Amino acid sequence: MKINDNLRLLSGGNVVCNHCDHQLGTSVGNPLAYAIRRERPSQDAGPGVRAPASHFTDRPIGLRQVFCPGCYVLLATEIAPTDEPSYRHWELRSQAEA
Amino acid sequence: MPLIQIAGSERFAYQPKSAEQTRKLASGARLHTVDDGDIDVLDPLTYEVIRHRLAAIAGEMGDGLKRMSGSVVVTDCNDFGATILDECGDSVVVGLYNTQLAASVDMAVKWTLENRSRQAGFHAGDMFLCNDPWVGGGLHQNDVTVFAPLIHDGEVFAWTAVVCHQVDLGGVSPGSWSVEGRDVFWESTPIPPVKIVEAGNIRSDIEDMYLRRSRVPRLIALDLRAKIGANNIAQERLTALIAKYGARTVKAVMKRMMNDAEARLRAKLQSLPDGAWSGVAHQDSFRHSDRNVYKILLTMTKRGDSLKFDFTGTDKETEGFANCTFAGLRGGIMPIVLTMLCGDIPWSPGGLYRCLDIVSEPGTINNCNFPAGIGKASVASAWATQNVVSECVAGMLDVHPDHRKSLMCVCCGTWDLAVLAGLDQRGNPFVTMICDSMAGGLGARVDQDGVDTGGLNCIPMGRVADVEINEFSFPMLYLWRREETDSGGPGRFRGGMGGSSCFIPHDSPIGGVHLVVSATGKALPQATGVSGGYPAGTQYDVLKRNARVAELFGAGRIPSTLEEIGGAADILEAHLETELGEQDVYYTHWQGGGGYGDPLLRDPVLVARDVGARKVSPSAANDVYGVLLNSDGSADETATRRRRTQIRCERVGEPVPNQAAE
Repeated sequence: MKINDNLRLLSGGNVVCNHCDHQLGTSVGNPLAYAIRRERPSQDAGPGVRAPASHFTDRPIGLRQVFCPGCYVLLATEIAPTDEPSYRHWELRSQAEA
Repeated sequence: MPLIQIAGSERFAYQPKSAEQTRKLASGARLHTVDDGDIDVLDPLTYEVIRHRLAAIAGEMGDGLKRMSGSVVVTDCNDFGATILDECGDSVVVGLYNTQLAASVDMAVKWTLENRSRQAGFHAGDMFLCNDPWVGGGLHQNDVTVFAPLIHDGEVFAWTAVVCHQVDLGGVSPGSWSVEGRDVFWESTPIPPVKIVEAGNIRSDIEDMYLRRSRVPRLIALDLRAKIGANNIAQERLTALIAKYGARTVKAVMKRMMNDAEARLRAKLQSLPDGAWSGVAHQDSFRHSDRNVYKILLTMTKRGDSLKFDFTGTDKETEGFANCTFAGLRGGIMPIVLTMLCGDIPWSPGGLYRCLDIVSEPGTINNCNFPAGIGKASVASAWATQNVVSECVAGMLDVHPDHRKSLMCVCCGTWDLAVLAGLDQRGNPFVTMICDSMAGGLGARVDQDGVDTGGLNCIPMGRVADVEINEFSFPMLYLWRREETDSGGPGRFRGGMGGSSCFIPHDSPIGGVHLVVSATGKALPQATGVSGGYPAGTQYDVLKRNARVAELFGAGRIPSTLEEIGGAADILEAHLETELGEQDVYYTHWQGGGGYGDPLLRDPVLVARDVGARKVSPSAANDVYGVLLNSDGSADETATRRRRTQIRCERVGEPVPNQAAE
């Protein structure tokens, strides 16, 4: 079952990269357990991030991204305070097709 | 002083009840109803004719309101809602206008049924006014609802309701946008439901109490009459419908509309895998000089045919004016349910709400207690709630081969507010909210880019006033209004672009104008992407003092960049109240929509096209999309392939392979 543009769920519950079939995790628990996580300054997201975050807040703000270890495709992106964990998760509980 | 819940305010902290509970609690009122047998015997043709007629009446309420109102916010920007509800206050149909507003009207009607059925009672020609977001009806005090029972044969047959944004209802700052506010007492005082029209006549004592607080009472009085008129239109049309088909048939259709909406949403949910999706929405700053960042957490669980929205972990309510009440929280959920889950389902929130379970702790920023400040609620914590709901629903829909086509990444992360006040070019006092950010960027889809400056998903019929209408109505002159390069979230499919406006005060007898700025999303973008897609760009507001616009005009030039304008640039914080002098320029740049998928997977031809159309800059094409261009503007395939390989490796910290042999 296709989960999104980059992920697929196999019948055994394994989540794999849709582009290279690399296993990333399991649908229950942490679907991206084996993914690569990187953190950079928020303005590395491109010129759309107009002014530095430090102009507006004393909290550290960063660009967090998650990548497939097999093909390095980008799986998730967020710009968030780096002094707090990422709150973006998902779990699928249904039986999936192969 | 710290926020301490006011004893006695619990009475107004409303939680909507089921129809059965409302019927019991409104024991002082005679409520018309039908039974299941009446619904079962409806023939399909009659059902469809009456169903469409009800939708048309809701649309006509909106048309009527626009024709009678004198506020650009209503007449040109469609920031209002119209709803028809059944006798118990469940929403049968909402118009295609502000669905945040229409989705919370049921609370106000149900509260009124529970608390006003014996006194002041419900009689033909009565209408109630409410702008208390703890009761419901709107999301902040500027959202004033006028709603009316439709009395048939001595019973409450149904309710009609109209709500729209009023440009000023008092409080410390113009526009009731008290950027330095700490609690609700800095803001416009909320009015729980009061009978504003009795037996067809406006109660002047109540109207005086209402208008006395406003800086623009004549405009507010006109809008009050517009709302009364829109309710009158609906009441006349519904009465005619009852006369033609009979009360039992019309009511049976209303009930079946809600039942059908519920059944169809349940069927759609049943077709999706069970699971849980968690997300977060951030807001930077709750008041002037506040440099904190606040979060709304959501875990959305889909099990069987229902959805649970659990906001546990959301930050506690805080000093400022950006909290929202439970009505705001619901107003953040329903627009996404309507637009993403119910594109093929009738918009009958009364039935749809039965599929939803909401878990939220009172005293948090999107379910605050009295007297937490809520003057900005609609575009602050309610809007942020909408963002995180949007993100979670998108994740859920993405797993379904067909329904994924209905998902949209988060649209324009918030409202970029600018309130202008002072003396207009005719010498009259004015206050207005500039609604240019109604042209926010829509989020990307799974198979197409978001619509550039396409609007807001919570106001399907929202629009921007023409530049000329704003210039005609208010003492301002635009230097430009345009789409902004790189404002859409990068992705395999790009988020829609946001825009900017740049204007100067013009032709006011006192020179400049008073300016209230209120716009978050400056420290971090609020329109997130999906499946690796980047968020949209950040909000960016700049005030230029002592600019050289007059000099440029004198030379026959209209400036088109901030650099060209000259003057001292001040990058504005999220919340600020100041003066805009005759030589000053205000630039406001609102957010676009989030992107979908990895930008390195975007077709290079599309990136080249975007660069040619100035939707994406050459630097973003290179750095974010990894696309290099030929001198004719087309994508250089070989160079792009190498650049993308380089970016892929660099972003995970791996060595870049030698590509020279290619």
